[in-house]
Amino acid sequence: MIECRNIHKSYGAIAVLKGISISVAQGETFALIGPNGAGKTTFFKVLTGETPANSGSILFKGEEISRLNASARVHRGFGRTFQVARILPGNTVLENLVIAVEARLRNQGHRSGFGLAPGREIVEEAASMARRTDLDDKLHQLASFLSHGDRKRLELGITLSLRPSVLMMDEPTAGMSPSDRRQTIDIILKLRAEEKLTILLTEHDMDVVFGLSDRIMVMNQGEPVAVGTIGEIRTNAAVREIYLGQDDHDA
Amino acid sequence: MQIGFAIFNGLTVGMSIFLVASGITLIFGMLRILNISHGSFFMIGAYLAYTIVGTEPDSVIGLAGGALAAALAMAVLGLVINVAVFRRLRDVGEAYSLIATFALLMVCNGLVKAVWGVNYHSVSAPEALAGAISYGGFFAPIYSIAIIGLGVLVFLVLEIVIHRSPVGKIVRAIAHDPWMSNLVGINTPLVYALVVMAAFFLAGLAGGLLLPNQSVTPQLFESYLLQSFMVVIIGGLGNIRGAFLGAIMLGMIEGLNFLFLPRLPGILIYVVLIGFLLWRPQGLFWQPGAQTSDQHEVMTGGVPSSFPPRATKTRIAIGVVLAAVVLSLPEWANQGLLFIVGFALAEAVLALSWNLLFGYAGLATFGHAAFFALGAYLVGFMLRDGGGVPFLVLLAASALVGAASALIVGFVALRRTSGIALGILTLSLGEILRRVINYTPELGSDDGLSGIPRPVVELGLFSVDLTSERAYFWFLAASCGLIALALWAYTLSRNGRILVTMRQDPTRAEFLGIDVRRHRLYAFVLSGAIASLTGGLYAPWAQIVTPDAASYLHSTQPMLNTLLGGSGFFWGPVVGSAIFSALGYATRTFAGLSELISGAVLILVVLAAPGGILGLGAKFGRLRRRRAPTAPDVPAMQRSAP
Repeated sequence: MIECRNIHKSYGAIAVLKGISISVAQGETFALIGPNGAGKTTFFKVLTGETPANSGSILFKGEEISRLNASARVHRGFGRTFQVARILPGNTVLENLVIAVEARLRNQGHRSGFGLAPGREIVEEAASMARRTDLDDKLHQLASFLSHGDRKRLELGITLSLRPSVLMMDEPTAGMSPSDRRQTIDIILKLRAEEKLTILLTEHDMDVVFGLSDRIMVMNQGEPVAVGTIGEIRTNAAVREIYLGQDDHDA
Repeated sequence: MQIGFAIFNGLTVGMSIFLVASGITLIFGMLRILNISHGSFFMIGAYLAYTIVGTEPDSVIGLAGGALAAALAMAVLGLVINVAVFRRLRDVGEAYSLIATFALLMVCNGLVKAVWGVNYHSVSAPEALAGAISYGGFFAPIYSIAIIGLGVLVFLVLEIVIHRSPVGKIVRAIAHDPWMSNLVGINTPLVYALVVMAAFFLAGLAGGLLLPNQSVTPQLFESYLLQSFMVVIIGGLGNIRGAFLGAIMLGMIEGLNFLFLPRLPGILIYVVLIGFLLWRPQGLFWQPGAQTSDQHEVMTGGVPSSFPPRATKTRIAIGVVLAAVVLSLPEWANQGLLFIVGFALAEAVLALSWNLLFGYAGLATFGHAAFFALGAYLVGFMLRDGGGVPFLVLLAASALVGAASALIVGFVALRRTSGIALGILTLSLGEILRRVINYTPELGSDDGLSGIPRPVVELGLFSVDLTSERAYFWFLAASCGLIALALWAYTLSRNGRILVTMRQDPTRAEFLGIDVRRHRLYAFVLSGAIASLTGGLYAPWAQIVTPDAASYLHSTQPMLNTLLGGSGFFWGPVVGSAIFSALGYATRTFAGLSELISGAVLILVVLAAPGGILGLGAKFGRLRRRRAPTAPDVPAMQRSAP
């Protein structure tokens, strides 16, 4: 589904990505891990279109998308969540979701009717998304008053309202308490099954990575160290040395 | 030889400007506040020194002594302003702090007019400075040489203190990261206060020492304000070396302007400034941390609702009563009041169109009056000299011209700039337009277009005569009302929701599939079209249009109206416009009083109630409602908190 070849990216003189290639199949959950500064977030931004790569190609469903900006990639089926949730703090939970549903309809080319208010089916879809992300008791709360975990769930709901074919999550459980973390993994697992999502994620928490992913790529200093299934990564000597060995206390 | 003279004159101008610009850049470098009022404090310094030395300073010592006394007085004033205003501005967004310092400017100017009057004074140079030295064929006034020397001296002192002394290390540390500096034990509030005092001291000193070079009038602030702005923008905000180089550049450009475009004084610098902003928005020297537009900006003043409110009986009643009052005005109000209300209506719609950019799309522009002036001049000129083009066609044309020019400006400006750079860029474009009009005899130059006739609208089967004052008032009121309602509907539709999404989080908007740049451009075009159409409606009402319609002072009017009323509410700008018009009407006979009061009100609003009057109202309303809990109704789109 996503096919990246030989991505290079540097900020000024500093080379951050030194030739990354991956290929993610439909329905797969693919995790990027690596120590801080490995280039995970930059690689993510190159994939989502926030920052252009210096060279290399990105194919999405066979189409070359490396020159498209972020919103154009969203139109083609990308959904993205952030380390620090990006929501609309001045709107209520329900309004946030309504805006997302409307955005999807617009992306799909539906014209808005003559009415100003969002139609009933839009509001109902938004409310049902709130239920699926366990936010139905907070529909009319301003998003700025939500807790960190609720914000992350709202952002997930906003993103899924776009009905993306690939979901890109940058540290979906960063900064969460253990119980929030468990709940978030459960929601992701449930929604992944319901929507048949392809997922790309970065994460520091190994429980989350092993709980969600089919395949993992380990990065270090802008280069891939190993790619494989959980079992393969666990037994990879190079990975143990540069990553899991040092990072055990973190997990 | 003429070139040498132009360069020398340019240097003199440049160094005079540097004395003011260095203060602006000091304050920005420390507090991240672009102090628009600095030119006015310079003016107060000049008036103080003038009061001390009189029109005939007897010696250089006398002049310098007066300047020093003024400088010390200004330093004390700086301390007061720092405590009363600047310190509080760190908690508000960038656009709000710009507007607050603009309000300070109004207060200063009003104060000067109230205390010293509006008359013109001129001060002669003391004898020792009055002569000139000549070398070969070259001839230079001693006074100019003294100014250049002073500019270089001030630069050297600042350069040594900031870049080569232990004090400078502390100052630069705070400029780089105030939070960290505080953490390692630097008393940041004290350093802030000292820097502000130093900047004000320089403004006072410059005001005193530059006395003999110009006439002392309440307009003195203006040239220094705009030019010192350009200097700090070109040099890189907050950087003294940049300001010094920028001042020299400005002087040279003025010299070139004098040589090659003597008929359009002062226009070249704007062209260079715009080129600079597009090429290098951060200026010659990039100052770490100088980018001030951040997340904070987003929520100051609140986000307007983009979902249709429920049509309650109270709301409908308020609308009907207001419409009835305005439409019945010609029946009972006197002519003066009717005129003011007509102006207020046009200003209200202009402010609504500005707030579409500010409150909804999150773009602060400082040149909105330019669009208004385009429409006003187009319609005014065609009605007077155009020979029978139908009025409604002219109005449509004014909207189209506004849209087209906004498209061109927005396409370039939104691609390259944001935050302060966008503000200064739009301000410069407005000033260029004003100057071009000023130097175009066909448009009446300084005096403007007067004697604009009111039209008769032909509608095929019948015609509507709008030549009487009553008839045109009704037409104006109905048009403004319709435009406002249409714009309101736009903001409550899916398009409005796109706008508030972009304003709150452009990155999130992008990942909802919204092409942010394109939708910002749409908002820019719509806003420009409405502003220009409003100008077109206004011209036959006022029957005179002057270049002031395009001036930056007029551009600030929609901002003031919006902030006073509340930028987080669609109708906020209308409330603000009504209040400012009433203030202007009540204080019209006292020189300076209206500026003084408007400015003071505005500072209060920004510091104490950034949500504006409607924001205050909503707060009280919520407090009342909280006592009576209501059952939540799930599908209804209603917010439970601000």
